Amino acid sequence: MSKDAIEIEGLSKRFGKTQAVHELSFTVPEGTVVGFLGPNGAGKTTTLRALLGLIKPDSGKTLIEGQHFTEVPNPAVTVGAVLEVGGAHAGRSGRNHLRALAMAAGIPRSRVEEVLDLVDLTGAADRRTKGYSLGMKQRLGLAAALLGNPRVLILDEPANGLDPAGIRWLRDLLRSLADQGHTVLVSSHVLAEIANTADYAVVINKGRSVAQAPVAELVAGGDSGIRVASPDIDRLADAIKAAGATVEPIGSGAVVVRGLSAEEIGRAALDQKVVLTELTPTVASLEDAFLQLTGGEEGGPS
Amino acid sequence: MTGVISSELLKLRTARSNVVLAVAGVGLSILIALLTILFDGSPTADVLISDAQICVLFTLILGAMSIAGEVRHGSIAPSLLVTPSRTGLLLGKLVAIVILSALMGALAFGGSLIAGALLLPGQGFELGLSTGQVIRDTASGAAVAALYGVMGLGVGGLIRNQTGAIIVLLITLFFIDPLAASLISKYNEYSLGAVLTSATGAPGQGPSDHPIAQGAALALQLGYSALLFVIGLVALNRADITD
Repeated sequence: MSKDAIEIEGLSKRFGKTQAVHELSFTVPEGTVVGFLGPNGAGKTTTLRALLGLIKPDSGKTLIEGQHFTEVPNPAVTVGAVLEVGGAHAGRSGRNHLRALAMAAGIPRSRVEEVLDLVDLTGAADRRTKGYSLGMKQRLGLAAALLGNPRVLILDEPANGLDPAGIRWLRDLLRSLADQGHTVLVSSHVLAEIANTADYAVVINKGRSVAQAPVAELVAGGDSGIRVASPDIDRLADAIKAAGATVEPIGSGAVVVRGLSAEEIGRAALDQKVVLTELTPTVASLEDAFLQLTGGEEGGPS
Repeated sequence: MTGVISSELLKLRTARSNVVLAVAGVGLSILIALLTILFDGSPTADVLISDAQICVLFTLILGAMSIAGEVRHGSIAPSLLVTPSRTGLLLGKLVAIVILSALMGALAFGGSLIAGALLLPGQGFELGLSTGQVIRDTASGAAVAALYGVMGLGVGGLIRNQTGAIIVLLITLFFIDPLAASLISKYNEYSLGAVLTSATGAPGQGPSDHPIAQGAALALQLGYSALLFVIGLVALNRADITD
């Protein structure tokens, strides 16, 4: 039975009048990739910072491998994190930024060169980070997180600033880390990334958990239906409604029907002698599930 | 702890702003001393020591930037991820800033006095200090520069906004402290300005008519610096790091 690499239990944090996180609880099993989703201001970043001991919670507990982060004996080997793009002094080179972190963590200098190579920054390593693009800063942050080859990775919006090739690289990296037994908790507003990468998703809204389930389960529970188009859509829609289904107009001559099968819709069209020009099942996506769970608010960093 | 100290020393010497401030602090001190030697009507060792005191302003700012600069650039989070103990991180910074500030102080005070010893006879004056006294005053200057670095670190830990911390330090040093010294007679000889001149061995150049002894001034400066460091440490340990 796999253990939980991360445990968050009853976490609450208020900033002034704003309740950033309220009684939030979830776990991340060892060796899994868990997506952490929520709209802007949902409390994702606050949760991740509390988990890493940067923010003091008002109540609740946050544990990594059974210990509070500040009590973890060898933190760089246990946890790596990207919380902010780059997170390096603008006047220092990328290589020296990593060297300083490696020194503090007791990591050999050769590992700095390894992670620079891993994130494809070796050529720019001696440039001051002030001149780095957003994507390069993001890669530098990932390099810092990977310095200790940690068992647990916590990433806040790691795809920000990456180009499509970088996003694919990140996806492959996360999957390969998970395959090696690493645990990854990743917040992202690029829902397609989570859908492609994560095993589980935790969705929060206004500081509270609204769903925790395998990604496939969340998607399956999303709002699927059948797209129907016809030159006489109004008459057909009335007949479908009379059969007890719901009809959502999505443009001229087309609706999405929920509550009837394609065959039943086809028979209704036959009964009404209405021509069908489209009858297509619509597959729910993680985005649909996310919007449904969070009341239609857009996802993003918080 | 050795790793944290090495890391902090590396941070100090690899950020361009730190290098510029360190070079400027030492260079300006020696430049002012040279100008005094060449153009002052009656240059003395006290005047040269007083000139070199500008160095402590730079160590003060470097101390504040050591922590507030990390917050400004967002590098505080990665630093705390490899050194989760905020006390451990600040102690590492303390040792690093003491080493750098003491080095700067030794170069500034020692350089100014050595320049005086070498160049004053050519201007028809004498430094009037033995080699032992030059070494002692250089050591005192280095100690005071280091203690100013610690004061800056404490204020940086307390305020954490780089610009805010530097403004508070400069207003305190150049406005509040002299004002308090002039308004409160009992504070006069214990003010930052009076303690600085007494501790560096140039009491006659200070604002107090009754300067305290050098040893007492050094001890008092140590107390001021330790107090501010502890305040900064407590504040940093209580703070939410949201940047």
